[in-house]
Amino acid sequence: MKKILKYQCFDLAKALVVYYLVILLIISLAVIGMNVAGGTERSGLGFSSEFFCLIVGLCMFREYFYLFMQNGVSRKKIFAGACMCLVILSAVMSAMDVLALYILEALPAANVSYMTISSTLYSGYVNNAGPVLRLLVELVISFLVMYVFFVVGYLISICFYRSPKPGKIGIAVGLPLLVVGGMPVLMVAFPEVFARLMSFFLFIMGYSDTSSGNPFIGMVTLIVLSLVITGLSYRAVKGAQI
Amino acid sequence: MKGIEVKNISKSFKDTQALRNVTLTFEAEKIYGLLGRNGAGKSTLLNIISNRKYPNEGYVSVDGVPSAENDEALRKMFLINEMNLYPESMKVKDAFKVTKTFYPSFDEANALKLSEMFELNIKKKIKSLSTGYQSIFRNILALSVNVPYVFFDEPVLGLDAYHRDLFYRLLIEKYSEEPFTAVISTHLIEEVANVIEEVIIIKKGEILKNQSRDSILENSCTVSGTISQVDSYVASLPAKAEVIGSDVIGGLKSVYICGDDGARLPEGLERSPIDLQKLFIQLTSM
Repeated sequence: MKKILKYQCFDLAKALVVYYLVILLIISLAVIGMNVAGGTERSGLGFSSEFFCLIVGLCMFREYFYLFMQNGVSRKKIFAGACMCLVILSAVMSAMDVLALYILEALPAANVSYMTISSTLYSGYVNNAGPVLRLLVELVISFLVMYVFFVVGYLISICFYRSPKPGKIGIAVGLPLLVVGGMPVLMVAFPEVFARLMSFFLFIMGYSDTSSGNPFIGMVTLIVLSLVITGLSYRAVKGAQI
Repeated sequence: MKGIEVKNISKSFKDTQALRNVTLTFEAEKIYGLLGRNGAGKSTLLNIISNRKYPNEGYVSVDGVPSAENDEALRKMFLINEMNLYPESMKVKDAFKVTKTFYPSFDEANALKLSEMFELNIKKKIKSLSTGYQSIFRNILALSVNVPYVFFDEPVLGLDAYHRDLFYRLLIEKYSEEPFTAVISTHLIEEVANVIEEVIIIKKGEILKNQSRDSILENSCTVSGTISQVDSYVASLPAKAEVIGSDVIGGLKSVYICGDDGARLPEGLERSPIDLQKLFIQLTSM
């Protein structure tokens, strides 16, 4: 177990380092650019971390599954190793993102803000909370959101691996179409359905009775979602064959 | 109990029955030849034993312990086949290190020594190796892993005659130094005939023969003579003897027989030994 975890973490750490170097470069350029040109910029760069998590999740099943199966590791250990690795990566990335958020807030010359999911979704709440509670909410929400993105990617990649050719085409073509094309179409063609979906999303994320949102309800929702997707992934991994 | 026990394994893929109720035992410290024509079910059997595929029915146990999803049992086995399961961008030397991580008994020094003998460039990425060198890479892993059960599925795929000979010599050397169970699945029967001790012949998912090479060859023969003489001899054979094939050239006939010691061979007929490849062809061509 330790060996699987160590191998995956070291392997993915390289991608993580490259990702944050790119982010650092972009932020530095943005800070310099805004200082030269004047004005301020609210950057949604922090959201890219969630996409990074999704992509890593999408890429990490097949290669590790093959390697570990070749080396006499059972599926349940492969799965447990992957989950632990995702938990560690989520923790590291949430810490990095929150750190970036705080550093850019603290720097007087930095007129670029780094927004994360939690700082955006629960901005009303975190702006009025004490520093410790704010930090806690930022970290936990970021961690859970990243884990959900990781594990969604992981589940999709297992489903893709296990699907016959038509299923693979369906996933490869259908999923991006659904996200990129489906949502705008739904928004325009069926605004009521879209509005209901949005209000349901806000409700489960803690926006039922307060305008600033309740991040703790959001945390419970994200934990439940994580458990459900992790459970589905486990079932999918258990049935995977070479 | 030491060894691998395969019990009532069946496996189907859509409408193809790959294995039918296969039961056999791989005993400890023996070299097996798993022989069968293309699509006979050899690779499927090895994949099931090594937990890469699930059977529809039956089970596999290693040293008396069920092996499916059992890490302890899986660590006693190593399967190489034509499919490279290491990341393609990984270098050969890194693959050795990774294997050492998961199999602490992996002899990295031996792997490096074998790489030199085979002239395998360990700094190369696995994907950049030719078909032959990919086979060599996998064979080196299998010859250095030091586990009780090693499965070689088509180990000489794409290898030239020199490298094939080197592989067989190293395998025997390794086995004589530290005996282990080696199961070799191959089409090159003539080459492997002198290496294996036990022969398992599989046909359309069923085990046709499972006995020692010596006993299978001692009890098998070719009987040649005129058609009428050969036919009357065949008619007089005991029930345990089995005619597995025949050739007719002009007025002469040859029959291939299993389970006949030739003790009652009449004059005018000639009895000659049959080699493993010929036996295999006759057994699997019917």
